[in-house]
Amino acid sequence: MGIFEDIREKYEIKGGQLVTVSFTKNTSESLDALKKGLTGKRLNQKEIFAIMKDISNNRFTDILTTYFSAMGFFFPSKDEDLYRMAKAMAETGEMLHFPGIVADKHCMGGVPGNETTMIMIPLLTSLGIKMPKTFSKAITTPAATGECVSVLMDISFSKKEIEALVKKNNCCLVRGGGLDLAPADEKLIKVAYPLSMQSYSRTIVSIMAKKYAMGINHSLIDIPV
Amino acid sequence: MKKKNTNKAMFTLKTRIIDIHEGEDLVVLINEEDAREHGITSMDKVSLIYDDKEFVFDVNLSDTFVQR
Repeated sequence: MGIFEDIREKYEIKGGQLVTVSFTKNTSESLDALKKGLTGKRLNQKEIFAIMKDISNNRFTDILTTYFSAMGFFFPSKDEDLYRMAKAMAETGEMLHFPGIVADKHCMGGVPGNETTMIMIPLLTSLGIKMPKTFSKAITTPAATGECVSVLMDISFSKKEIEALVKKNNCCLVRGGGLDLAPADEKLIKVAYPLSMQSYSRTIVSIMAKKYAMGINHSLIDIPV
Repeated sequence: MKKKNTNKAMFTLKTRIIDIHEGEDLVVLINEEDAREHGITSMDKVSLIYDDKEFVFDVNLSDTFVQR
């Protein structure tokens, strides 16, 4: 079995190692939950968690993930549903914790390349506010924060390196994708990417899950209307 | 993740590190003949179990990068 270099690093598989291989099946819990959701019924925390867990663990195929993503366009979510989804999305991945007030500024669907985030994070940090800022691949513009920051500096760091950066500088500008923060979100973004659009509920959940996973307790969200 | 032994269709393969950074997708390469023998086709999902861990990967097939 061939293991690519990045898989070897991330999953600590050694060359020449014997691994047991088996076909992967989705948990019946997650499939039942998805079917229930597709018929417009509300999902409880356990059902949402089962779906998020299978998306995070790569058990859901892109097709199943797309079904879940598109569900947001047809069945509006209540605030409680959004809370459940954001909580499940965050808690099926890595969680970071920082003491005190931890703030974030989020800009969605902005003007391509306007880059307010790159300027605001250091400015607000200079006022004593802790701002561990993460970003993902641009969805609605060709170049969002991540693409612009990556022109100037490295954006991929481990959890330990981010904790050290925030301890030293009180802020960071890093890519969340490599961190396993709300890992289901990267997969949902991937299936939404070709259409450059996400449903309202998936967008809110995507933002809130990453804030929660990053230990953010104060957030300013800039939504163009 | 805890090791699970619920699936009867399990087999063992030896890993070979390929000096390529594949990117963000979780993909492993399986020799075409090995795959055929076990009924695996390209883009199936397989669970890899080792060191009491289990992770899920998509499958690509090769008869040059990975020998039987």
